[in-house]
Order: sequence, then structure tokens, then C-alpha cells
Amino acid sequence: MQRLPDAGNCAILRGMTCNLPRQLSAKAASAIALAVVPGLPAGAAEDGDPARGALVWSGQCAMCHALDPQAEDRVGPHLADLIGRPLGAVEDFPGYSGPMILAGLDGAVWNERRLRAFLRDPYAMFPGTRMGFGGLHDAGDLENLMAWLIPASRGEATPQPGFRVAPEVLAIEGDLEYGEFLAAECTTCHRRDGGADGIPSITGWPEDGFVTVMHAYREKVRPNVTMQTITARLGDEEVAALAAYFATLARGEN
Amino acid sequence: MTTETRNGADAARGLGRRSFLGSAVAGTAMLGAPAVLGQGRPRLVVVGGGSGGATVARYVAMQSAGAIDVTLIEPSRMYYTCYFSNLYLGGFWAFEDLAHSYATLASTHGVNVRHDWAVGVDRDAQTVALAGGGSVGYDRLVLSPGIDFVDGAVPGWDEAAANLMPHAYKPGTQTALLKAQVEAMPEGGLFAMVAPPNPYRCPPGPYERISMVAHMLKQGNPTAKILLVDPKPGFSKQALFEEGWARHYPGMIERIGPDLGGDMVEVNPAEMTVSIDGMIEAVDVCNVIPAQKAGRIAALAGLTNDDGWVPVDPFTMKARADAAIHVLGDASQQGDMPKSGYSANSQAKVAANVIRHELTDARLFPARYANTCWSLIAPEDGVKVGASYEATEEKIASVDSFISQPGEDAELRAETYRESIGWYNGIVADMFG
Ligand SMILES: Cc1cc2nc3c(=O)[nH]c(=O)nc-3n(C[C@H](O)[C@H](O)[C@H](O)COP(=O)(O)OP(=O)(O)OC[C@H]3O[C@@H](n4cnc5c(N)ncnc54)[C@H](O)[C@@H]3O)c2cc1C
Repeated sequence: MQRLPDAGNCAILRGMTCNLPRQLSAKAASAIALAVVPGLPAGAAEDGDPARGALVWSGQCAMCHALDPQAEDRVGPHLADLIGRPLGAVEDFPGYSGPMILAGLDGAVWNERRLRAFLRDPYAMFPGTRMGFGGLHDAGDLENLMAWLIPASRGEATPQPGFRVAPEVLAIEGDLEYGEFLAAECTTCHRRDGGADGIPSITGWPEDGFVTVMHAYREKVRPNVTMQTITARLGDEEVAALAAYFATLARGEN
Repeated sequence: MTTETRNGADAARGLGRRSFLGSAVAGTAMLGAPAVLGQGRPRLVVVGGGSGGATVARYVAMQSAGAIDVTLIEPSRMYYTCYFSNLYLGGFWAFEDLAHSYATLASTHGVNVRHDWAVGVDRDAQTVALAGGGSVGYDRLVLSPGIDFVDGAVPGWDEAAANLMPHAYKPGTQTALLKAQVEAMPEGGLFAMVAPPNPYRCPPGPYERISMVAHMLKQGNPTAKILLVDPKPGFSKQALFEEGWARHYPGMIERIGPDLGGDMVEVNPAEMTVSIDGMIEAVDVCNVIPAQKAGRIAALAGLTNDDGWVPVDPFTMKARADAAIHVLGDASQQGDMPKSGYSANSQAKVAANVIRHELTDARLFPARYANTCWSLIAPEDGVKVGASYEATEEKIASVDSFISQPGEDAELRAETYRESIGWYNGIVADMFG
């Protein structure tokens, strides 16, 4: 069973008034309304090129999501058999935001239209989403990804390897105390309590996933100039130290 | 200067990344030497509970878990952030949402919060005198008092005139006054800003403010005009702001740079006029942001240079003149970092580590700094500039930097704006949570 989020930490349950400006709240509210209406017709993926979509997947998604339900823990939930699956429903995945779980409990399932809207602008649909991804702004990339992901999620495409970090780098043992010091640079923006509203939550991630994501920024595979600049001067030991430290913090809820 | 403090500063200096990561054995020898001073719990006193001061008090108290006695001296019961005060002007943020209380610092982290003014520092006796009477002794002192204005910087203006011509450049109610004045402007009226010369807090701040005032006027008073009188030839994120102003507020904003007399400005608050190189202009609202210097207590402590700022050691954020005193944030002169809340917060963490190393047996790590400044130009049109920094003998030096680009798509700008909201909630949690 999924745990229900504590109302005190859940922006949606508090009526979205907290720290979000009015405009965003209004937009958020309508997006939530959309999210909980069950049975939206599935829009068809138009003209997407799955081969190009596979590249988007391996560059942007695969460092956090697996297609294999048995894969070891990643930062995000596995995406096997996504279409038709309720929102926020992978049994053992601890990192969903409360609103996404609630939407799923209210009967919302992933269909093409909802998936497309979420991938285009995750925060507009779920302002507290814990997915650390700003959205696929390029319409072509989005359609290409849809064209690849939907069959792949059903097991109908060759799995793409995605961005991977060398095993010896993943094997570096993080120095926790150093990680705590370095983490202070992160917590100016990324909250230690795991809360997220516009800046992703990075607490409680599996260490390998954390290292992979940081290296992807450092190699400029993942977009976001701030993170590319911050990670540019993190050595492998420093990334390992940060991964070890943030793994000790609770995922948090929102 | 005690031997202990000199050793601490030297250890921090020797601690380049290479030497830190190089040898565990050498590292232990160098890092493991505590320098606990005197008997009883060592005492840290922090003056100023803003971006630098609240952060250093929280980190030292939280991470030393009671081993260091932390006192924070701050006159205000609530800290009103300057960051997002422009968004409050623009109607995107509530005034109450700028306010943050010291309660958690006291109740959760055990910081002894004293709502008082520091009025003097006796560096020989290592005590801070309080306006309310008495003094507190310290083993380490942090000053993070923010800015004060340079007297006579804008002829005709002094702090007594701030009711008529607000600066709205320190935490508190000045921003509410400025907003009320803009709302009361006559139709088609004139808003003027006198921008400050370098260096000053928040380089993009005046220009974000121009954007937010323009946004307000566009809603309720679209024929009003904005006059920006600027002593500087150029300014932070200039291409981005000017592109945004042309797009969102065409014809509304006129900037007078030094080539046209923007550096020859006088004001007359009683008459509500601004004189630019002798040309007198009647204005309806005038936001005067004068030249700045370190908060007064830094000069009273005898730490400021001729320019009014405190030179600091880039490895430790200690005042160059006194190894028992760290100076953070706007008041410090450190090199390449802009005077920002983000910078002050970043510097506070380096100081906290040095303080814990010197007062207890905490490990010392190499200094590292970062900054990002987000600005909002119009609804959903956010931009950012930022950099990472390292300590060198001479200064805190920029290593790598980035800036938003003109012509970015609307979704990226909206994402950047959203990021700024996350940053705001992040930094206040990092200071007061
Ligand atoms: C309009 C505007 C917008 C800004 N936007 C941003 C932004 O988006 N991002 C960003 O990073 N920065 C921003 N800044 C800059 C930021 O506010 C400052 O750079 C930052 O707060 C500096 O931190 P500080 O600790 O040096 O000083 P402050 O945060 O100003 O704190 C100083 C504190 O010291 C107290 N104090 C002063 N003297 C004494 C004394 N003698 N005894 C006891 N207490 C004393 C004061 O009451 C105050 O609380 C903005 C500034 C302005 C004006």
C-alpha cells in the first residue's frame, strides 16, 4: 500500500497557497483538476521517430528510470507497462510526491495524452513533483520520445543503455563527513528535508543513481547550466561523498 | 593574534584540493589538530541575522551539536528578505512571505538569539558591546551586518529623506512604502530610480526592480514612464533586461547612463525633483539607491579599508586584520563574488567549517564558493547568472560562469523562474529551518 502524505507537508492538501505565487497556484490547480479526471482519451503519438526518441531516452531519462521492473533501485520508478498504470503506483518506489499518489488513488492512469503533458512540463501538472527534470521543451524531441517510449515500455523495443558511469567510479566509497561539508553547497537550493518546489529534491536517492546523474551534468549530457557549472568542479571522490551523504537523508514528502 | 588562530588559517590555506585528496595520512595529521581555546564551551558570537549571519549560526550550532555556544545578535524579530522583495513589488509574492522568524534557530538548534544591536567590538578583550547594555565575550566573532549607505553619495538625499524617496534596499518596510507610492502615482506619472555605483548589493537588483515596477504600471497605469538614472556605463544582465524591457514594456523605460549625465545627479525630496547634470525633472516617485559600504559595526570594529569594506582572507573569510573575526556577505571585500544572499550563504558555510575546526576537533575542508542570481523580468520570464569560485591568495576568484541567453524560449524562461522559487524556499530553509 502507498503511504498517504502528511497534509502538513503537502502543498496541494494545504490548498496551494503556501509559497507559490498566485499565478502558479491557479495554473497548478487546473492542472491537478485535469490530472484527476479519469479516462481522458488517449492522443496518438504523431510522426515521432522512435530511433531519435531512443537517443532522448538514453540522454535524458535512462539515468533515472529503468524499463525493467526487476532493475535495481534508481532515482525514479521503473517505467515498465506504463500506459494504463495508475499514477504514482510502483509498489516499492519511495520517491513519489503526495499529489501524484493521490491522483493515482483517485483513479488517474497514465495515458498518452497525460504522459505527453507531463513530459512537456512536469511542474505544471504536479508543482511538487519530485522528478528532477524541467520538461522536454522541444516538441520534436517530445514526439520522438513518445514514439519510442510507449512501445519500449511494453517491452517492444531493444533496451537502450543510456548514460552510464564506469563501475570503478561507482565503486568509490564516499567520505560521509566530506559529503556533509560539500552538501552545504547544494542545500542553498535543494532542501535538506527533501521538499521540492521548482528545484528538485535530491535526498534519499540510491547512491549509484546520484553519482550517475551528477556525472551526466558534468559531462553536459543533462541540461541546466547551473548544475553543469556546479558539477564541473566536482571530482569523482566529491561526487561519491555527496552521494553517500544525501543517501542518509530521508526522501521527504510533498 | 593567538598561535591557534594563525595555525587554523594556515591549515586552511594549505588545504588545496590536491593536498586534501592526496594523502589520507598527511590529511589526518593536518586536519586532526583541534585548537580548543580556554576552558568551558568555546563561544561563537554572530552579529547580524541575515543571509550570512543566520546561516553561520545555524550551521555551527547544528553541526557542532552543542559543543560550541552560539549567540546571534540581531535587532529584528523577523528577517525580511531583500530577495523577492522586487517580486512583492510586482505582485508575485506576498509581503508576509518575505518574513522569517528566528524561532527554529533557538528552539531546534540551540542558538542563543539576542534581539539587540551590537554597538562596539573590543578586539583585545574579545567582547561585543550591546545597545541594551552589557557585552558578550567571544572566542570567535562573525560580523555579517550587510550594508549601510555612504553619506552624501546622492546630494540632497539622506536617510531622513527615505520616507519621501525610499531606498527599499535594506530588509523591511521600505519596500512596502515604495509599492504604495507606485500604486498612488497619477495617471501617466513618472517613476525615477537613482541606481548605485559599483560595488553594491545584488548587482541585478535595481534592474529587476525596474522590471517589476514596469509590470505594475503596465497593469494599472500604462501611460506612466520610468526614468532610470545610472552612474554606471553598463550593468548586470544588461542584454537580457534590455531585450525584456523592449518586449514587455516598449517605450516605457528610459535609461540615462553616465554619457548623458547619469553620474551627475542630485535630488530634492521636499520638491520631488531630480536634477540630472543640471536639468531639473519633476517626478512622482523617486527610488534612491545610494552608494554603499559595510554595515557600520564593521567600521566601529576598526576592520574597514578606505573604501568602507572589510578585506577578508579568501580561504577562511576572516578579516585580514583580525584572525578571531570572520566577516561575511555584503560587508566583506573578497574578490569576484557579487554581494548577494546566495554568496553570503555560501561564504557562511566555509566560515562555519573553519570555526568548528578551530574551536572543536572538526575536520577542515577546502573552501569552495558558488553563486546564482535569478531575476524576474515579466510574468514567467526568469533569467539567471551564476558562477563557481575558488580561494586564491589574492582573492576569491571566479572559476566558471554561466548566464541566460537572449532569445531563449518561453518554456525555459518559465522553468528558470520556477527554479528561482525553489531557490528562495531552499535558502530560507537553509538559514532558518
Ligand atoms: C532588492 C534586492 C533584491 C535582492 N535579490 C537578491 C536575490 O535575488 N538573490 C540574492 O542572492 N541576493 C539578493 N539580494 C542581496 C541580498 O539581500 C544581500 O546580498 C544579502 O542579504 C547579504 O547578506 P548579509 O548577511 O551580508 O546582510 P543582510 O542579509 O542584510 O543581514 C544583515 C543583518 O544584520 C543586522 N545588523 C546590522 N547591523 C547590526 C548591528 N550593529 N547589530 C546587530 N545586527 C545588525 C541587520 O538587522 C540585518 O538583519 C537582493 C537585495 C536587494 C536589496
